[in-house]
Amino acid sequence: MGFLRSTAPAPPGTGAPPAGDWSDPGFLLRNSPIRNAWRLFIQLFKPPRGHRTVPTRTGMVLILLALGIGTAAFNTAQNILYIALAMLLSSLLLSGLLSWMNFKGCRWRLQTVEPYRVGEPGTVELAVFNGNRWLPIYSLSFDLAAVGQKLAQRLSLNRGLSPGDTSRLAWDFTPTRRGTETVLLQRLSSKFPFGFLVKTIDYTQPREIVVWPARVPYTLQLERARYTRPLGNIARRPGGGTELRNLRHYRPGDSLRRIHWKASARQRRLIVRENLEDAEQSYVLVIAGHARNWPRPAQFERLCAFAATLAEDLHVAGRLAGVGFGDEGVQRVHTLGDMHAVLDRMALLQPSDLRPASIPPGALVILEFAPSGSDHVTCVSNGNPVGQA
Amino acid sequence: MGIPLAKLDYRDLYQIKWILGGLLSVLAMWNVFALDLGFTWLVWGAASLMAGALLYPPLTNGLPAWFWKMQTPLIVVFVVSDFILAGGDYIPPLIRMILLLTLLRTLQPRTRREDLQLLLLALILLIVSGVLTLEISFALQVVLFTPLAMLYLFVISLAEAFGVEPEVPEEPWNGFSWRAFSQRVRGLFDARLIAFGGMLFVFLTVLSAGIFISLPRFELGQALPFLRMQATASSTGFSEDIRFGDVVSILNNNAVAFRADVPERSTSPIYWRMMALDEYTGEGFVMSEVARSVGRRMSAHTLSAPSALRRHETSPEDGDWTLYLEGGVSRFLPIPGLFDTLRFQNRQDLTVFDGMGAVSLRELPANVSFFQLTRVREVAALPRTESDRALLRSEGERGSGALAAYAELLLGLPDDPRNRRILEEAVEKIAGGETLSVQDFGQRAIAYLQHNRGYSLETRIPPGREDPVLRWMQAGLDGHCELYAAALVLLARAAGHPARVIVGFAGGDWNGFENYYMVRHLHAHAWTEIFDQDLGWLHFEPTPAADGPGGSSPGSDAADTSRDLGDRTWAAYLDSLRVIWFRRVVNFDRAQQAELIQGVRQSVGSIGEGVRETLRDALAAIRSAFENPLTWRDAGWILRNLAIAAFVWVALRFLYGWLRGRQFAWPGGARRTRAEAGRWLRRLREAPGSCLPPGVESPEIPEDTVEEALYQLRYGPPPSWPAPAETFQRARQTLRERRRAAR
Repeated sequence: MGFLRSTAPAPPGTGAPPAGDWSDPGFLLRNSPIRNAWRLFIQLFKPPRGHRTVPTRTGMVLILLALGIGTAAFNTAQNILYIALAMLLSSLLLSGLLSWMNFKGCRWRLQTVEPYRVGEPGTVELAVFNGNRWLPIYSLSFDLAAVGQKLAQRLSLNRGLSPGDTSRLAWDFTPTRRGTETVLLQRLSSKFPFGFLVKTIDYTQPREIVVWPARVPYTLQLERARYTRPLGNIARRPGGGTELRNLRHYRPGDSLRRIHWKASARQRRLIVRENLEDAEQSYVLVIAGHARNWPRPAQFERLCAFAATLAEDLHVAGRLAGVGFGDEGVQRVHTLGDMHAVLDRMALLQPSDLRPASIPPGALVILEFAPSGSDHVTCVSNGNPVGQA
Repeated sequence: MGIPLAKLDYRDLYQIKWILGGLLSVLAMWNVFALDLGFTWLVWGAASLMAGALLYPPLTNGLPAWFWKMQTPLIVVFVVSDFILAGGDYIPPLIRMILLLTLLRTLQPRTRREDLQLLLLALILLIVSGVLTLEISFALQVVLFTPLAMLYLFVISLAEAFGVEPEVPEEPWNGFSWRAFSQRVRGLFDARLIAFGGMLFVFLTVLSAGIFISLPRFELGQALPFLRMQATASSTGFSEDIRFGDVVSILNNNAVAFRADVPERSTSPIYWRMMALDEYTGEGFVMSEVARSVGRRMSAHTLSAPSALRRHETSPEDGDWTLYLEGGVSRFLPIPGLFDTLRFQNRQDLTVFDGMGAVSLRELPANVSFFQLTRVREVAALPRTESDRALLRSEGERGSGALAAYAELLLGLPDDPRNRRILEEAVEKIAGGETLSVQDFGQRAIAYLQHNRGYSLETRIPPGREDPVLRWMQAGLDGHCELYAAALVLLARAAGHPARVIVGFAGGDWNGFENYYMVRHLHAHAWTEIFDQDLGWLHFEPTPAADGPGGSSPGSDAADTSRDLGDRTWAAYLDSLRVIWFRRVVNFDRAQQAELIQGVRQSVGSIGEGVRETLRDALAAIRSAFENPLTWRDAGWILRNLAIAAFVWVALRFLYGWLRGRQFAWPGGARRTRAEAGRWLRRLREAPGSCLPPGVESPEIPEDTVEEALYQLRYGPPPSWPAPAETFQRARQTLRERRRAAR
């Protein structure tokens, strides 16, 4: 976005402002007042890329009225008409000036609040800051869009924003398709102050988001999955069991009940107990196969949704050991970050990415997926169907 | 610290814009009262309803639904009938239509579209009434209307941002009270916003004035006869047919009939000639059919003087006179003497009476009209014209037909032999059997008429069978200008000299503030012109002076005022404002524009010349300092100027920095914080174990580190900042730990 001024330095090699960065209209780029003034003068005739000022219907009426009065004034030499014409023209000029001033102090930032999931409302937040020292900002409208899904929403700042204040506008949008999506501020517009002109700034702050697969209802009978043995160190992960695993320093968020008071007194800082999770049967989900097995896109989508839902549920239940994608081996899922990485991967999964699995048999309780009928997906463990979506 | 913006909801905004719309309508109505529209009840009724609705908006709730349903057909019927009944004079019904639509839009609950319609209607009403009246009140109206209209549009724009449907709230005026409303509105205002609004208003006014002055004025011949209203009747009664008493009847009217902008004040009373009446009817004088028939009809913007008033030689002292004739005074233009050309602001339909030396507008204007006379000279006699050929004594020179008939008319007397006998006896007394020149005869006749006779507006002519003028003359009563002028004409004609009565104005009050004549209705006057074979039409003033017996005469009043400092009363001051408005605004033309530009150019040139001169002196002083041994005086001069230049430079830098800091910096001393953050980032980068590679301005910053927080302080906007003091404390600790770890 070369026409925007970024208030923080952009990372080398990227044209877009870094995530979380603020943008402004880029009117005053230079430090030199003379160069700024010259730049503004040039912008009167050649607006920056993406900036447009067009008359509204009211503005067109005003222009036509000015033309009519001007014609009558020139043909009649009536100075009353010249006064009216001067008044209309100065109103137009003042309108442009105030509109410029309104935009001048404005800074905005688009923030994505992850995660986004198909069929569930997610939030895109737009923060607007008034950088003016004295003047409030009025009547700004923001057109946000999700480009891939052709979703759009207009958010309006319908109250004045005082100098130094920040207003946060939220767009709750519901993705309809998993994968990557570009959310951007498609247009920033204002009819301030008199509604004669609408001034717009196009295409700012594109943000890439990842939309996870939808959650789907499914049936699952895990008792039918064949148990071999717990997955060694996977079962020894920290958890809510009774066996002590480790002592460590207190971290914000730790339960007070887990504080080891004796050790804390010795160390003179808070020490908490970290217990092992009770040994339970854990599972590995494997998403493998061939693209030819999933010729129907809807069924493939159901596969992704089922796998993601199951993975998440097992993880919440503490029974997900890992996820394997084809022959890549098992990606262990310990933390929420691991889970998000898996879901991100599932969000981007395409049939062409599927490869045959190469997991040693008997090492884990493996749950695999297979098409069932024309649009269902079956979860299989060692050839036995254990669930369906 | 931000401005505390009052939190208005949509209903508040709706009420504010509704009231602003009402204010605009009432303001636009102001000049409509000055128009002679007819249907006075409509104007007053509309104004009362608008004011009532404005003062108590809930009143509009009481209007029944059927009223709003019926409004469109009712308006259509009214407007169509009005246009049909107006019979071609389309302006009054047009204004009535705009007025009616404005009224309805003012009273009704309004959507955004209807708000804009109301604004447009009010603007049109304002402009049309301004164009028709040309009054200075238009300036005040515009000055008030413009900011109100902008505020109105601003509120409409704010209300639109709410995106509320339906646009008109349910029962918008329920529970409305002015006290609560004004408290809410008061909460909107802040001293800085008011100051800013004031600055914008000044800016807008200056900008409008600048645009008004610099808009090009094209000489397109002013071809469009734009919006001119006709008065129904002349307020002076000056027409082609004047009966005795017509002029006198307006002498009690103190209102200004016209104003005259003249190059300098005249030492003698000015006679503003409007028309010449040549035919005596026994009840007064009229302009004869012959004189009327030779009037040239034309439509022009500029015209040469009628032949009777045309200059044949020019003098550098002769200047241009501009006259501002009030609406409804007369179709005939007051003309003070000979001139070259007569110029109107717009194309006008005219009748020019060459022989009479009169110019008449085809229609009686209802509003101020002004015209300019170039190279004016006051004269005591008008030159002979082609139409006066019939008046020459030489048979060879005398024409025939219509011209001869015209000559007979100018010598016409009452038919009755008794009247003729009275006149012959009077002429005998005046001339005493001598053959007098016209000049001498006129002087003696005036002396005869004024002998033991004075000026009076209330003259009771005794009854009798003779001509009324002769009865008055014989009775020796005081009289007014019409009687004196008529008597002198009859005496001159009886002596064989063609003569006519001239009506117009004499003198005027000199405005001591802006130096122009205010000619009032009470300066209306009648006098006499007698034809001289050699000199043309000689001017005679038969009415006695003001200090004579019986009263005062307007002409002599003018002579008195010409000697003092002029009128410097409050009324004159207010009147002078009006003339400034006419001179500087309404009459602003290409010539004035060129003059103004020339003036600006000269001013700029003189400033440039001054700067050049100063620089030359400075260079010469420096050169002389190098060429000659440096004296203490030279050194002091150089040091002083260097100090001044340095001071100016520093002051400008400071001012710019202050303005920039006030206007553009992030609030809360952001610069110092940013600088401090920058210092800590540099220390951390240079310290052992830094996660920031040296020399890279924008590295990938590890999350949740003190470096990230410092970067946020250094480059991010204040709303996103972590607490600066705590961040710097963290940075200090981190630096200490890393140094300790490195040891």
